[in-house]
Amino acid sequence: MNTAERVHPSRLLLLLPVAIILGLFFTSVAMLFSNAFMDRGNFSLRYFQQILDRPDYLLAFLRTIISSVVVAVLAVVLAYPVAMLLWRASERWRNLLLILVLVPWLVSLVVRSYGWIILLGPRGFINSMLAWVGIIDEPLPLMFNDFGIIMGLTHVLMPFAVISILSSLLSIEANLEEASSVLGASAFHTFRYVILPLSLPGAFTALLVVYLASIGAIVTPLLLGGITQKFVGSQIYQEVMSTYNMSKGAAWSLCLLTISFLSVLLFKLFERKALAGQE
Amino acid sequence: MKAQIHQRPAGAIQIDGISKSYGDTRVLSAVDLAIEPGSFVSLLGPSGCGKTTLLRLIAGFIAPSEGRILIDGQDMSDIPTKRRPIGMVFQNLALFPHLTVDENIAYGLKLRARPKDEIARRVEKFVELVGLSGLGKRRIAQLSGGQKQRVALARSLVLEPAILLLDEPLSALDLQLRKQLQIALKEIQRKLGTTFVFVTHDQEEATLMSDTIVVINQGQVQQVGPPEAIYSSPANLFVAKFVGELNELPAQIFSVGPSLVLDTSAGTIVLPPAAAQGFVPKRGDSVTLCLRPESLSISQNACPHGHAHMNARLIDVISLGPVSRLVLDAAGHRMTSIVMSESRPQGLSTGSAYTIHFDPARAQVFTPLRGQLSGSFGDPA
Repeated sequence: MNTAERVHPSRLLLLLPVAIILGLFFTSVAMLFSNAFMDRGNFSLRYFQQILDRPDYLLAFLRTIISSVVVAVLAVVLAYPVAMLLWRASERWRNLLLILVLVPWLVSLVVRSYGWIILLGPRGFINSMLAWVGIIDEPLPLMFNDFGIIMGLTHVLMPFAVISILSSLLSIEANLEEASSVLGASAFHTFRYVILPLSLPGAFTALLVVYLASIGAIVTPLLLGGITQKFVGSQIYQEVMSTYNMSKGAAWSLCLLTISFLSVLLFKLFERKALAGQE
Repeated sequence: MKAQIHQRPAGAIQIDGISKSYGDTRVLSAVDLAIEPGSFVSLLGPSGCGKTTLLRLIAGFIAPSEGRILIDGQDMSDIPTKRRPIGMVFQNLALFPHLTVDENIAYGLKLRARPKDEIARRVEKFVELVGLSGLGKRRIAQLSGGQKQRVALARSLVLEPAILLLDEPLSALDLQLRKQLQIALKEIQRKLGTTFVFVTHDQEEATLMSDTIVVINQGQVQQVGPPEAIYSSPANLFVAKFVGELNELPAQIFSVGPSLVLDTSAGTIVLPPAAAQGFVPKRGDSVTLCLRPESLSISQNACPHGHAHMNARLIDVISLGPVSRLVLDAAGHRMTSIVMSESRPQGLSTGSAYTIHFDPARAQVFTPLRGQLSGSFGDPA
């Protein structure tokens, strides 16, 4: 008898926490599904129908998707130079700068969004300065619109993009750049033909992560988008926390989940095509 | 006249008083060196001796603290890497992993905006030259170590540089493959007439391939010469120890005159005065007597007339096929003799007393090293 292979029954207790967590997770998903198809105790597709019927609801979904795409692209484009800088820096500087990149995450979401209000609001810093200089007479609508939401979300989510791109850059083999320059390439050519293609996987990951984080955002769109410019996440939050319409919230969540899932599928197809040939 | 003569630069390198320091650390000091166009030159030395730094200075990745480098008479001080007439094969090869074999080789040609058909033609020619025919469409990750070396070589050579710099490109390969590529490299170099500057810590490799070996230690050139000269008449004890196997025996100079008389713990040795290498011997000097294993023979009693001799005890006999190693103990100092197995005395018995003898003309005497190197021997990195 091989005693080493026998598991003492008490060890099975270790599975209990996992079972509880998994149980709760699947119960909540199941409840989400059942809630979504219920209206006051009866099966109903009412809330799904409502989304399709009401233009303002459809617009909220459209706005969420388009804004998230813009945020993802913007975050990656802006993160590239930052990631390059960190990559070039010595290890000590890199760690220090990385902390600076992550500082926004140390501040609560609400506080950070209020920071943007101070900057972008009708009487905010930017509008006051422009009015004071005399460039504008009326305050520019910088927030409580899509612009404000995109600014806020890009700011919050950019660190993800920086980290993702940086990790890709750091995995580039040492002295590929030297090899490129010895073959006659300028710094720009080396970036274009070596560094950029090799860091693309990180950029793609960044696009997806930022897009997914943005599509489910709640607080930032709520604070910077105002009442009229609704994001799906903010709408769900209001349905659940203010109107207590669990079924409507669940139906919206399910739609959002489906959109996210389809986006990932589509994106992965696109990524595979774009990176075709690279390992 | 439309005829265009493509004059390739010859590839002579002149290094004038190059020094390189990082902070207080001096990596190279006052290196002067002239490299003949079209030659195969090895920079040989232990790790950390500055040989790679010298290569990187020639490539222009770093700037010298003092001195200048001329290629074919032109000062390279203000010329960036991308405009120097050089190619380089890196220790880690630095191939572009996102490109195929063909694309890697075409990289430099594409940057030079050569016509498509010319690029295709030249890539094909060099793929063939380095023996990779049929593998052009492969990705780098699909290649073996030896094939990657060949891609790295072709990628540089396709641009027909006057000079190719090689930074220990073979160090990661197993012995068999290494031997193959050493020969292949030498053949390619002969065929193209490109100046090869090859960095290595492996003296055997350097000896096999080079026209000229530059031995470097502690940032200074120790000796420059053809492999045979480096081996048979090393300039100092460092070179003697680094290049090939060596028996060392501490000694004191007993007298200087028509012959050099040494006192060693294994007896008195009389040598011709020319045995003293690179210093003027004086009575009482502490020196090191150096003998290559193949200059030592042993016998039971008498030794040939004119040979120097000392007494020793045989510790071990190791047969290596055509040659045998005899390990001996001479008054507490371990000596190794390598003899042809056929001519080895019959009936050697370990533990018995024998006479070591050698032709005094083959002995060399050096001033001892001042506690500098030792530690770095055999360190491959």
